[in-house]
Amino acid sequence: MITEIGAFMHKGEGLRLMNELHDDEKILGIYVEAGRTEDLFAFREFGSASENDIVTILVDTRHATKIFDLICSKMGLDEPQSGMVFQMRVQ
Amino acid sequence: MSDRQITYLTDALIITCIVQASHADNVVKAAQNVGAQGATVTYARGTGVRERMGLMGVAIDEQKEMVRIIVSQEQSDRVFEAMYLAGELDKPGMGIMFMNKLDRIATYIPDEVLAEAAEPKAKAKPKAKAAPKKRKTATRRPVKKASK
Repeated sequence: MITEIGAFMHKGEGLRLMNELHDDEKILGIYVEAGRTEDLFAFREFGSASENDIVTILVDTRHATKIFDLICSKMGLDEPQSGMVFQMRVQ
Repeated sequence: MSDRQITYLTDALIITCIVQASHADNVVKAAQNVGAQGATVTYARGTGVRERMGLMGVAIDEQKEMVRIIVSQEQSDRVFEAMYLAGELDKPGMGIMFMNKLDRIATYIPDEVLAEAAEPKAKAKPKAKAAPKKRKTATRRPVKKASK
């Protein structure tokens, strides 16, 4: 079973996270996209929106919790305005 | 032992909506009007439907915008319908949308919000007849500190 972990984070953080995790053997794939977000960060460059990175990580379900916690920790989610991480099972 | 903690939220879904370029703002606005907190929009390129529509396909923009919105289980249907109507997805070639159940979410939640959420449970008096058990939607656990 494979689990997808997604993360919305500040612009530029996505590549940094990818570089930190790409050697991890538990991770099957990492993808980074750039986009804009509303209501996630207080700093807004474009009207009501701000730039952000979206990271998608595919991982074996057995290791999903560990990787999820690692990403949360690296993103510093216990601080406000640091983004959001979510996890879903790939059927 | 670290004092950092993660709050996990459950019972949430992610709605993904792929529409033609410049249509995303309408979809996001409609979702926010019915209670969605925010949205993330990315750019993409689509293929398939344009070719199948023949001559009509030239009216379909190849450039797409992909809207992702995380919503709670309760509001998911309402937000999904609002986005569908705003994106005019009932018309051919306008786009596609789908919804996935999330196992869990983590984000920053202020302590006062968590305390407020826990308060009614603490104040509730025991009733003669036990109420049906509510599913736990937030759990908190400590996490190891990682270098940034």
